[in-house]
Amino acid sequence: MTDMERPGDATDPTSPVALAGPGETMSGAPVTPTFALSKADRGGGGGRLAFNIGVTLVLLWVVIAITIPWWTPFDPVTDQDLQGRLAGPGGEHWFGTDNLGRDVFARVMYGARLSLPIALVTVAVSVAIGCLIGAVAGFLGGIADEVIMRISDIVLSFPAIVLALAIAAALGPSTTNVVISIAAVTWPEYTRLMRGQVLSIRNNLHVLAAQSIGCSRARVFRVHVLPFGLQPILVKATVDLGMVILLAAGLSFIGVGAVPPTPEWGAMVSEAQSRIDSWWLGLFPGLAILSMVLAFNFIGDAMRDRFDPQMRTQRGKGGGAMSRILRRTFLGRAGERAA
Amino acid sequence: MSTTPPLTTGAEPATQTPLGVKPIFEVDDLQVEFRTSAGVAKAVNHVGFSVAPGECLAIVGESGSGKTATLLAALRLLPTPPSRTTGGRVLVDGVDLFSLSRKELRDVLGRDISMVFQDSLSAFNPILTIGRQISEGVRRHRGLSKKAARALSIEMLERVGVPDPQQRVDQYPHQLSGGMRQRAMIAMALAGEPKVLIADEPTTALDVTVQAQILELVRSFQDLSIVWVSHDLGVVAGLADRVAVMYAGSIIEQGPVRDIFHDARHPYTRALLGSVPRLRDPERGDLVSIPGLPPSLVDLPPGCPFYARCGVREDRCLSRMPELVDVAPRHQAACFVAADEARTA
Repeated sequence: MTDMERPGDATDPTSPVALAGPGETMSGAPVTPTFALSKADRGGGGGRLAFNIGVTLVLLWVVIAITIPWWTPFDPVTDQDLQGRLAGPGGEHWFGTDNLGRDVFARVMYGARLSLPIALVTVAVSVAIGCLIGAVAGFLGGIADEVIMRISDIVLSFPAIVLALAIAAALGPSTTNVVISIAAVTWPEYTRLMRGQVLSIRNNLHVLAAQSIGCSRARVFRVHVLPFGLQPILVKATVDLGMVILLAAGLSFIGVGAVPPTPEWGAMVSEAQSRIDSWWLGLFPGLAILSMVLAFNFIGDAMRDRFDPQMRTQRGKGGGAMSRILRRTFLGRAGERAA
Repeated sequence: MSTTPPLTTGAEPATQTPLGVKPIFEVDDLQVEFRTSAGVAKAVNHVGFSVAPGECLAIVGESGSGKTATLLAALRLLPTPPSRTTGGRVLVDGVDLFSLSRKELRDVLGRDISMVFQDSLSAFNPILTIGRQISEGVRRHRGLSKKAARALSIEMLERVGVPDPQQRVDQYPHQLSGGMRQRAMIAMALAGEPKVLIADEPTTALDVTVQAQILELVRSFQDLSIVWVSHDLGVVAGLADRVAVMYAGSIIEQGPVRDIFHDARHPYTRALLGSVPRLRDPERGDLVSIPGLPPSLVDLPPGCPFYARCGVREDRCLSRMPELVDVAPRHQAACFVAADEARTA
């Protein structure tokens, strides 16, 4: 894009509007430069920064999860030092020790080895199931559509954490069951999204054209419909990675998720509850959750701004991308609406 | 073209092609409805026409007259719901498309009959190369390998006059100009060597010089039967052998192109021709339009749909829709007045 094409340059004296003469257009109406945008409206800026921060944080966590055994001498479960239990941060134990004398730093870092795979597997399962069902509903229509959408409505009508809690409690506490229970409550959102996408793409001219030269139904669906529906799915999946980490931590916090000695962030925060004086027990796993959720939110939002300009934040109305994500992370959906 | 069929009323569509020649594409009594929030819109009402091998039939009419709906419904490409084909028969080389399974239909589409769309940019999948899309249908029909399909795509691009086909075949739709893309679209439709080509206003989005090139190209396929939908009477006059005029979802007049342009019988066709602007006509400076609006398809009157705007209307036109009757050799109009004139003449 050259400088001349930018909408913000409409006030430039050499722009075509200005050439029509001061204060008038070809039709003689006075010029109101409503399309002269401020610098912040041109995009980039906050979104780009948020994206970079998010990617850096996620990469950092991935590297930590892979390499942690090489740079901490402590094992998160077996290295117990009852003499030096509940020691504050500093010295040998950077984040202090817990009630069994285990190194909190090692436990928090090893926690990434649990949270990241849980998030990835859960979202993958949820996306796969949700998209498939939603695409079938949208493509077939009729009774199949009706049945699928009503079932997903039923699932959606429960608060996610409550239903996930019930399922996880019924299945018994384990990491696998965390994945199952969260996937079981998050798939309908993908179903709705995918169905909507397929419904709007199904009647695109290029789909008709492909049908008119005799492409098979399966091929039309796979090549001409499906790829066009995946963009919003990708964005939502990224944001959901953070949400799933939060949900999984929540389940473990309540006690239906990861089983005790496992170094799981939610479980660690839960244990820290009863020892509020030892602030390092809860703070560091909490910060770990926060950084991960925030990072995925940053990436997801930046991707949405990039792929879907219509959803782009209305800047100047409660700040930019950064403040929007922060608001959502800390206040939830209500915070987003209030803005 | 020399035989004169007997003067009958309510002629079967099959008799409109030259006697003794079996039509290759035949639409018979087609009815299509759309369910809308305002009610059921009858978009296509008892439409019938046929095309002989090598013949070009043009369907003309204003926007919303049911031209596109007729053809999409005929090929079963119209999304259902909201549309519903409530009756009729569509024969391609003797095979009734409405009796086929979906799979059998896919075999016929692209191989025996195919379609060219108006907006070539949105008719191509933006994320696939032109080459892959041109041979896409044929690959399934003939089980071609990737390599053979590519060779076919290049050959087709060459046949429709796209320069540098070796390179173009690997380009994406947005990398081609509008005229080039429309040629590629025609290449895609013709790749399966169909006998019938349906063209839905393929030149409307193009500028006049490119339009002329595309028309030249289409004229060069002499064995092909063509159904050409347009609202551009100039294009139709130069291209078609026969013309069918649609109004409010019905064919109200059809006949040889010369008859339609020089001896139109239906008052709507006459008014339509009268509204074509002419450059060298000192007496007519202003654009002429037909007063009034077409009737709502949701609430069609029982009589002639053109009644409200007609200059020669009579009371009997209100009671029932006039049928297509012969008013001249191979020339039919759906108008009581025109039919009477033809009888007394």
